[in-house]
Amino acid sequence: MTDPIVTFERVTKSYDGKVDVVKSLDLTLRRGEFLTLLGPSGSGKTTTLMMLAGFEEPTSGVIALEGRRLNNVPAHRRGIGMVFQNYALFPHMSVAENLAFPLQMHGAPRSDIPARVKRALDMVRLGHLGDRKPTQLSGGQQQRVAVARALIYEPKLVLMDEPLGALDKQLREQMQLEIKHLHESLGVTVVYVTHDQSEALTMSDRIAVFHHGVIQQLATPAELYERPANAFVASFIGENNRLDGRLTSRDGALCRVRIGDGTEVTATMIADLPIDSPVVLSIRPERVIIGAADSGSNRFTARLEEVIYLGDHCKLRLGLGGSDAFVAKVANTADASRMSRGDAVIASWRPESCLALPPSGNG
Amino acid sequence: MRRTSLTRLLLWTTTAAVLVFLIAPIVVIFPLSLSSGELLTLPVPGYSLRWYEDFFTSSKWLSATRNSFIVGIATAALATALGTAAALGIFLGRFRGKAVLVALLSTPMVVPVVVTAVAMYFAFALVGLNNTLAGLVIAHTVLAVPYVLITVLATLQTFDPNLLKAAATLGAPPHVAFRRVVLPLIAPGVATGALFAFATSFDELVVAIFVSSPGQFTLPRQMYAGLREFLSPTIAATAVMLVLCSLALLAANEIIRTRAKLRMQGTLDGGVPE
Repeated sequence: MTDPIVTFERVTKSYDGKVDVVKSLDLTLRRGEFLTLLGPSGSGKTTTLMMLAGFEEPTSGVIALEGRRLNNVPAHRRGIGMVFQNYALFPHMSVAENLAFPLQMHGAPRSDIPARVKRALDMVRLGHLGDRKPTQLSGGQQQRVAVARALIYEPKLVLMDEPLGALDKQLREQMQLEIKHLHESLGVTVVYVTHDQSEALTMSDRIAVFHHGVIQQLATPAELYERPANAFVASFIGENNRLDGRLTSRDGALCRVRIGDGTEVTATMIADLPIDSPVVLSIRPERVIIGAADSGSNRFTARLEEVIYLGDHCKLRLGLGGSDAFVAKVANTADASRMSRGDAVIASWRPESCLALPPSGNG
Repeated sequence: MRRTSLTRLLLWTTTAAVLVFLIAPIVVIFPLSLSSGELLTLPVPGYSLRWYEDFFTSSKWLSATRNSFIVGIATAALATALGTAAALGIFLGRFRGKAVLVALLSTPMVVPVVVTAVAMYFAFALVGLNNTLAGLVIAHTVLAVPYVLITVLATLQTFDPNLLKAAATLGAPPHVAFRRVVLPLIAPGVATGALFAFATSFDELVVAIFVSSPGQFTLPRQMYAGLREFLSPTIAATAVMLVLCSLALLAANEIIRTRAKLRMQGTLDGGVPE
């Protein structure tokens, strides 16, 4: 499961010769894994996918599939399947003909094709829709056909370019699980591109977070959430409270940081930074402790700006440390419902819950 | 209420007048071609099919018809191939100055035909292409390509480039992808372009005057010669047949378009709920 199937070595891409859309990318994709390329628009994730598919050529660097150099190998000879956001089903062919197409391209014996098409349709639970044209299917059905078509000739690698972007929320969540289950049962390697971090967290074995053409961090979902490498990753994955400050002292794994309003906070160091360098503190809303009962060494008296009711929990927006967007997540208890705007609340957190991160860099 | 029906009346009258103005010259040919008299005059003295008979028994008219069809079909084939290839190249290519290129390729459509005809005459004189059917085909192709280019480019605007990417990831080499994915979807546009190319050649007179001699006379060229030399109503008969030909081409085009639309929608209309 850990042998590499795809490697990117110092891959750079520039469209105009001036700005690098992807900067000196190194990446190893493991066989059978579900890797997501996650990032905002323009971060380079889609370009990276296109270079792997063969629709863009790297400006420099080498991409290899199972040890074989892919540079200058045209897309139709790479044996890499792909699913598109707008499905890209052939509108003049029926669903069954769409599914037969890749089998014909790969020289499958004609007598085998109907059975394999049927199996693919059953795999995505569309067995009865083989004769329909794509325009006669709903969005979710079309996407399932697109996934089946990409998988039917059993490629080693499948790429998915924001395939669920055009679907509504419920359908999207249902399809996320379906794709994940297909991945598990087929054992195929998947590279998935999305800008939706919760989608990435749900589906991936590992996530590569892109920003300005550079991978900020490549790790499992849990590691990205618990130990983000920098402020960008911390803000992009999950909800995050962010306080800017300067490093005043260090003590083993811990450190002290002076934030905007002069207060000193005890935090956990993530990277090796010198004293007085700018750092960004990251505290997850669910790690903020409200009330005097259990106070960590970071104890603040904050002004309650807003209570947001979310059914199973409440979010409290606090004015704290110079920021009025500080959010704490509390369970929906009786205490929480008695709080109101303007109250003074005690907010605190443990040093282990507070990370001192380098501000997002480009390196 | 009275004012509305007055404006309505005015609208209908104006529309009718415009339509008459546009169609009358064409319609008047029909009775003239059936005239039993020997001159092209109205009112018609009597009715007769003799001019149609004259057409179908005259070797020079039949040879002109043959030439028109040979040149027309050859032009359509050549212009369609070239124009479609150009349209695909412009649509799929990634280079700057596409608009300039399209403008350049469209100049035959924009430049006055007589200028093109004179230029062709001198160019062909250098290589001995004047007074040959091949030369005429080449000249007509140059005139027809812009029509094919623009028609196919317009069709390609509705073509999803991701389909080509998908075909590639499914293992289709470019020529197979073209034949099985692109062509079926742009076929109506290509067919329309081919029809335009044929019509352009079939109707063309000015270049034919400069570049062809009696051995290569097409129908329009023969009609022009007839007007100068012997003003016989056979010309009217020929004109009627050309009008009917054009109507047939228009009808063919409409059928192609409608069939393509129906095929895309499948047998049912609309989508199926999840």
